[in-house]
This record gives sequence, C-alpha cells and structure tokens, in this order.
Amino acid sequence: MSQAAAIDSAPEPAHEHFDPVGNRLGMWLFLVTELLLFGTLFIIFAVYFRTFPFEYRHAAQGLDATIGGTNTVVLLTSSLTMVLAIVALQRGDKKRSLRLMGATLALASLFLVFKGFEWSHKFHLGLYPDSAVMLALPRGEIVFYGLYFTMTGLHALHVVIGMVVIVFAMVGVWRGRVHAQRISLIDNAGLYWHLVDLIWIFLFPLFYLIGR
Amino acid sequence: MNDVVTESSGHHGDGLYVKVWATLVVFTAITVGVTYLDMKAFAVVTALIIASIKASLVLLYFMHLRFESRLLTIVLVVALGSFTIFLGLTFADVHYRFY
Repeated sequence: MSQAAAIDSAPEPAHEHFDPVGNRLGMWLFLVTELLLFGTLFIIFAVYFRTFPFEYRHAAQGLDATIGGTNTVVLLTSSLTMVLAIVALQRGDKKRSLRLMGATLALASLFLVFKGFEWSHKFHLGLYPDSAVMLALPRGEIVFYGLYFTMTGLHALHVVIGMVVIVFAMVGVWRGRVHAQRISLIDNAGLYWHLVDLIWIFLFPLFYLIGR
Repeated sequence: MNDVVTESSGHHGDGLYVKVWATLVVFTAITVGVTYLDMKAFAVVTALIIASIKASLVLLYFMHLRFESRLLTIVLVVALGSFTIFLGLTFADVHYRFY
C-alpha cells in the first residue's frame, strides 16, 4: 500500500540516475574478458610457434602482407574517426559526430571487403579448415592456418559486432538519447571499437610478418 | 584514489588524436620496414615490442586510460597480470613435458 503510494507520488523522477563512471567500469570489465578470450588463442599460437618455427614461417609466406598492412591502416583510421565522433558529440556537434561514425562504418566495411578477398583467395586454393589440401600440409602449417582462420575469423566477427554497436550509437545520437551529458552508449561503442583495433595490432605482425 | 573523472575522454582537441593516429601509422610502417632487415631470432621480439607500443598508445589515448580514474588501470593490470601468469605456466608446462 505504502509502496504503491510511493510509486504513484513519483510519476516523473526529478533526478534521473546516470552513472557514466559505472558504465565505463562495466564496459572495461567486459573488455577484459575479451582480452583473455583472445589472449588464450595467442598463448596457443605462441606455444605451437615454439614447436613448429619453420612450418609457421613457411606457412606465413602464403599470407599477403600488403593486404594485412593496408587493413592495419584502415582499422587505425577507423579508430581515429570513432574517437573524433565522440569528441564532436562532447562539443555538441551532432551532425559531425554522425558523419564521423558513418566514416567509421565505411572503413570497417572496407576492412571486411579486404578480409573477404583474402579468405576467398585461400578458399580458391583449397585452403580451408579440414580441406584435403590443408590436411596434406605438414602439421605445423595445419596448426598455423587453423589458428589463422580461427583468430582472424573471430576478429572479423568482432568487427561485425562493433559495427552493429556503432549503428545503435548512431541511432541514439540521431534521436537525441545520446548527447554530451549522456555519453555512455557512444563512449562504450568507441571502447569496443578500439579493442577490435587493439587485437588486430597483434594479429598483423604475428600472422603476416613472421614469414618475411 | 585521486580525482574521479566524470566526463569521459577528457576535453582534448582533434589535433591530439590525429597526432596519435599518425604515430600509429608510422609504427606500422616501421614494423613492416624492419622485416627487410635480417634479424633472425629478434624479428618476433621486435615485432612484439612495436605492437606493444602501438597498443599502449591506443589504450592511453583512444581508450583514454590516461585520463581515467586509477580503478580502470587496476582492472587492466590485473587482467594483463593474469594473462602473463597463464602464459608463463603454459610455457613452463610445455617446456618440461616436451623438451
């Protein structure tokens, strides 16, 4: 009875609870679990690198460092446009923020297109997990390509998820739910996007450059 | 615990972020460039050092850890510390089993 009265008496809260620091802490705790997810795969990569150094290097020569390098710059640039989108929103420039997030999405798509070319080229050569061509390779090369498809595939999945989160942030900014005083959605979308970039920073040299 | 930052990202101009981005691109060029030197065993170590520098720049500026309360840094350090322990124990295990 008294509870119902309390609810009735407060149809519109005078102060909406909003805790940007708590929101960021929650996001960081999630990012840490992501780091450990990829970290485990990096440990597997490292242990087998030690076991099969020559096979790894030989297999890595089959990867295109030019595409890998280009994609590194594409992702770094998308991180820049994302951070600038947040800065623009903090200044209250909604239009510029939306344009910069649009640019981030375009660069993310470009990354996936390059990745797609790369993978389809490998498929064309008959190289994919459990294929006859791949199983005929030396063991260390099977491990290398297996980890290549697993890790870049999981990373590409994160790129797609990141793009979806950025679309949500854009809708929030567009509708005015996300603005300079309620920054968390775009801020956390940015943190997630930079994590995707962070993982690629390690994937690129370890897969594309060790064979050179 | 020192001052808790309530506004995210600090209030920095675009220039800072463009500079960080340019530095990251330069380090990418360096990590590709050093593969032309014949460094043998040091090649992977060099690549990892450069990648760590790049990762630190992304964490400190793009993910604005530099301007955050210390709590978030502690969260990250605990995670990286755990990762190092996993890495070390796995390598010790593999070493004594197979070598």
